[in-house]
Amino acid sequence: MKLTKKLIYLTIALVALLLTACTAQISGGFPSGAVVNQDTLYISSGVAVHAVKPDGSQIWRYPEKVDTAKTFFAAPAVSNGQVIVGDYQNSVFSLDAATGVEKWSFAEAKERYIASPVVVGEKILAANADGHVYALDQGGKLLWKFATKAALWATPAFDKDHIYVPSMDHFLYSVSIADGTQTWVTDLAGPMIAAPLLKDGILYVGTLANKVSAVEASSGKELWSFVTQGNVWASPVINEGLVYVGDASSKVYAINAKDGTQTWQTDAPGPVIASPGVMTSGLAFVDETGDVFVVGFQNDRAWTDKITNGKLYSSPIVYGDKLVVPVYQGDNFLVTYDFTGRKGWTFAVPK
Amino acid sequence: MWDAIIVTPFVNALLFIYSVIGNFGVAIILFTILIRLLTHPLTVQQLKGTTAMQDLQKDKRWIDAQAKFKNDKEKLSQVQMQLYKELGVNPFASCLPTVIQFPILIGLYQALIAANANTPIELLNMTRHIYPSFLKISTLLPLNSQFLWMNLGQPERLNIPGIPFGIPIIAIVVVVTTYMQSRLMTPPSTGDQQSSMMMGMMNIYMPFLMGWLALTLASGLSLYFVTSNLIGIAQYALLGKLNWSNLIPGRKATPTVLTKKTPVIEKSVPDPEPKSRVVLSAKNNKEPLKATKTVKATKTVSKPTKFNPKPKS
Repeated sequence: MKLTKKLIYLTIALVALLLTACTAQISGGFPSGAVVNQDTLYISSGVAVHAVKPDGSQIWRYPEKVDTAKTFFAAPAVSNGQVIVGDYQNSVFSLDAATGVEKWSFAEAKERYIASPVVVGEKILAANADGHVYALDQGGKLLWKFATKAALWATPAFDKDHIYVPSMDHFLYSVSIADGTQTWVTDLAGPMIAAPLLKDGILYVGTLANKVSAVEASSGKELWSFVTQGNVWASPVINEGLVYVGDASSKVYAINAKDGTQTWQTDAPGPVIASPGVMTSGLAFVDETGDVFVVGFQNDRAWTDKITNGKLYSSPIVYGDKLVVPVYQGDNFLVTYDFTGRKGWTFAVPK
Repeated sequence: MWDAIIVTPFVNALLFIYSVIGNFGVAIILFTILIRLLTHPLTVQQLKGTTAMQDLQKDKRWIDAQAKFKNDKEKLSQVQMQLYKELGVNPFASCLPTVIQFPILIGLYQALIAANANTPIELLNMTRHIYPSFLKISTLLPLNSQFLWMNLGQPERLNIPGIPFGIPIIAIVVVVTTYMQSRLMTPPSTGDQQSSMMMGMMNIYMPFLMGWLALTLASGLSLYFVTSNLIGIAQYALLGKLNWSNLIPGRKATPTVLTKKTPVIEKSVPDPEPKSRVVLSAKNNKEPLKATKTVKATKTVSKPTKFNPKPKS
């Protein structure tokens, strides 16, 4: 009798373990970046949103204790003394930037927030995986919402009048911030995962159709496109007329911003999923397999390092005189370097 | 290795079906049916093996040997092996197809998870499974994960006006179909109290475990659970192995109608070390074999009679 019961419990436990082990990654994500505001770094680690001092110590975290109903992967936005962040359920939270205390939340979306919210003037604009952009006032009240045909995973770019919304439906939308009406829409023939870069009236955006496109922000006209070898998961960066981007086939490209021609390309040690951090001396790239490598603007390799425990999916952040690298599933959540490649403080998510 | 042989081909097949159909829910159903059809011969073989074992365990000689050698496992094992040989029963005939099917079904399950990408990491993993010359990720995405009222990437709840909470319809269907499947497919009782009790408790716990998983995981997986359960029931129905009376709660699982004729002859169970011998007989075809006499073994051991209760399949 006792043996029978034990066998039953063992069998059920094994089945549960097997099924849940196969699905453990289902709600997983990776941090889409961090934001620095007045010497404080704000970042989502999955289990919480953290405010971190320049010496690597934590100021606060939200929620204070692990709450499985609240998981955060999108980078927060900071404005007017509040940290705005969307979670992996369906809520946008406003937190006091100094204390981390929740001020309000907005839970009308139907899906998770993979994209970061943006704050333009007095409006908070949050793109949700349910395919809508939600415009909120500073108190979290819905002003308008704009629908696309598929999930929104990429953070919109913006100027003072418009947001530019890249969608998984292959279209790039220009939307009026004032009232949520569509200004133009352009088919870029591939799903977009990362935020466009807006510079001098031109949007540069990568797609999973293996290309980087330049689109005129005023009209939506595609000016040029550059074909990459692999999927482009990251936002491009620009410096001195060159657009830099990495792809999933382990290549890094420098593209002429004017005409889309390739200036140079180089091999990365592994697939590049994140945008580079722009330092004065060059570009700090990370790859999925844990490599941190700095490439000079003229394709001269400066230094490299390997983070052996964890994967690197998030963009490095230039934080004062430090380069901060978020690590996915590593012993440390943040690893820092000075600009010569010497390791500094690390930050592990407090238990 | 595992991914390359099982999961990746499955992901490509599933997404190919999706690229033709355009609906992920229908693709899951069709793909599950396809895999279960491909493994159907194994299911049939498994069922035959199980049936043969169950028949064997009802054989009087088997039962008597169990009682006689209950304290001598080695001898019991030898007698059992002799009976296996004599009756043409392969004790592994029901295990082997299960062993082969199991990785396929696990692969199917993993392929569903890999293909139903709802987060950047899941999508990144999915792109690694796709054969670029076979499928183009840019045309596959975005996946249409809407099926009936469900978003297959999310746990399902049906919101009905007037009810303040969502009703987990698919989780309820998973519980019901898992319960139905386990009850309908419960093998006939062999009289072993312990295994009957274990089976009975499994029939109760498993549906709730599956229901809990359906409640918390993406509804695409729940759709797979339901489809798989229904196909399992259909397979057993086609093979004439369903016992509808088992569906009534509280009732003990009973055997399906036994159509096989019990052989009738006087038989002897060979004693591997002939200290004793059980002599068995049956009066007619409708009665089970029974022991008529136990005698001390003599030095001369009679050769076992050729005995085959059914044609070997």
